[in-house]
Amino acid sequence: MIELKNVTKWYQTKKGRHYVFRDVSMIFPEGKSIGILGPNGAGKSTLIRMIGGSEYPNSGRVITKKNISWPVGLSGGFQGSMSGRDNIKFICRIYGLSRDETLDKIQFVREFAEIGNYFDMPVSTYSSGMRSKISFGLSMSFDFDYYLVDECTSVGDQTFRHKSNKLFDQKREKANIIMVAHNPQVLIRNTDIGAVIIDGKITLLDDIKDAAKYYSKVVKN
Amino acid sequence: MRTAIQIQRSVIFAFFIRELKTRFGSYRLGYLWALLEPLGHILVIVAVFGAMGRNSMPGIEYPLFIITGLFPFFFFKYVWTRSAEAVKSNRALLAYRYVKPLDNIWARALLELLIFLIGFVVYLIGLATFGIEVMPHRPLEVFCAYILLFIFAIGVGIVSGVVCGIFPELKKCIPFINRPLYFISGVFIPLSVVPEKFRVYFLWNPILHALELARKNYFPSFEHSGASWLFLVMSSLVSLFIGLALYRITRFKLLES
Repeated sequence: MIELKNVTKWYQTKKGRHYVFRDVSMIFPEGKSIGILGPNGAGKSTLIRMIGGSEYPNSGRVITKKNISWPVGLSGGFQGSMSGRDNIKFICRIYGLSRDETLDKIQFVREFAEIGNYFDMPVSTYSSGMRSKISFGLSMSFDFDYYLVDECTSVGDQTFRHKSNKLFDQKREKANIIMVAHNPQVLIRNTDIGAVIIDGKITLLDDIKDAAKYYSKVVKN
Repeated sequence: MRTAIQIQRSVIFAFFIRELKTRFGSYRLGYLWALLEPLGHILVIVAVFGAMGRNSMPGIEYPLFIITGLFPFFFFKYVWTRSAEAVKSNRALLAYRYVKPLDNIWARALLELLIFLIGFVVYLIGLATFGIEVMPHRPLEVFCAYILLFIFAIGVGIVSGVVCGIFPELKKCIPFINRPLYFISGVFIPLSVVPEKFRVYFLWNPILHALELARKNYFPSFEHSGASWLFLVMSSLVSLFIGLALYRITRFKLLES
C-alpha cells in the first residue's frame, strides 16, 4: 500500500509558485499495478519521483512500507570514466549489499546484458543501447515490491526486447509496477488500475481500461 | 530494514570508493600524482623564499615549515573546490532514494583527509631520511589545529556546494578566490614577518590561524603572533552551521531535477 496524505507540491518559477499538486490524499491499493495518465506537465514524473523517495512534497507525506525501485532503466547516474562493473558495484554499495549479493548482481547483469568485454570498459565508450541493457538488467536484478517505470522505451534489437519483456513479466508475478507511458496500450498491457492526473487532481479508477477511456474523453473536451 | 545510520554509512562508503576511482583511476600514475604535486610547489617555494625563511626563523627547517602549511592548505583547497561541484555534478544520482545532496561532500572530504594524512606522513619520512628532526613538539595541538581546519573546510565546502548547486555559474569564481588565498594564508611565510600594522587584516583568515597554531605547536621556537584558538573554533563551527542551515533551507530545491 502506498498512501499520499495531504500532498502539496510546487515548483518555484519566475512567475511565482507553480502548483503541481494541491492537498492530494489517496491510497493506492495493495497488490495492483498502477498506470499513470495525464497530459504533458501534469506531474506524472513528479508523482513517480515522490513515490520513489527522490523528491519530497512541500507539505504532506508519502507513506509506504514497501520497497520501491529507482526509475527502471535509469542510466544518468553512471559515471563515464568507470566500467559497467564498477558502476554496478557503486549502486550495490548504496543499497548496502554484502559482497556475495553484489557478485550475484554483477553475474546477473553481465549475463543479461551480453555486452562482452565492454562490461569492464568505461561506460563512456558504450553505445546508448549498451547503457540501457546494463541499467535495465541492474533494475531487474534487485527484488523490489514496486518497480517505477517512466516512459520506458523498449531498447535494443528484437531479441533483446523479447528477453527484457519476458524478464519483466516474470518480475510482475511477485511485484507490481507503477508506470507512466504516453501510449495507453502499453499501460493496458502492463498495469491493473489507472490514476489520471488532471489540473493537480488525481482520479483513481479500478480498471486501467476505464482510466484510458476516461482520460481520452477528458482530454478531448 | 536498515537504520538511517547504516544507510548513511553505506552511501558515504559507496561515494568514497567512486571518488577514489574517478579522481585517480584515469591516470596511470594516479595515486602517485597526489604525492608528486606538492613536490613541485615545495621546490619552487624553497628556491624563492628559502633564504628569507632561514633568516627569519632560526632553528626551524624551512622545508618542514612549508610542509606543515602546504599540505593542510591543499587539503582545504581541494575540499572546498571539489565540494562546490559535488552537489551539482551528482544530481542524477539523487534518483536513488538513499542518496542525498550532501553525501558526496562527506565522501570527498574524507578522501581529501586521507590523501592529506598519507601525503604528510610520506613527506615527513622523506625529510627524516635527510636527517631533519620531524617530530612535532606538541602533536595533540597540531592535530587539533588541522582537525579544526578540516571542519572549517567542510563548512565552506557545504556552503559553496549548495550555492553552486543553485547558481552553477558561481563556480567560475573559485579560481579567483583560490589564487590569492594561497598567498594570504601563510603557506610559506609566518605572520611574524608581516609588518605589525597589516597583521590584523591577515588575521581575518581562519586558514592562517590554523596554520599558525599548528606551527606554533610544531616548532618550539616558532614566533607566533596573534593567532587564536577561539577564532579558529568559532570560524569552523559557524561555517559548518551556515552550511548545514543553507542546506536545510534549500534541500527541496536541490532535490528537484
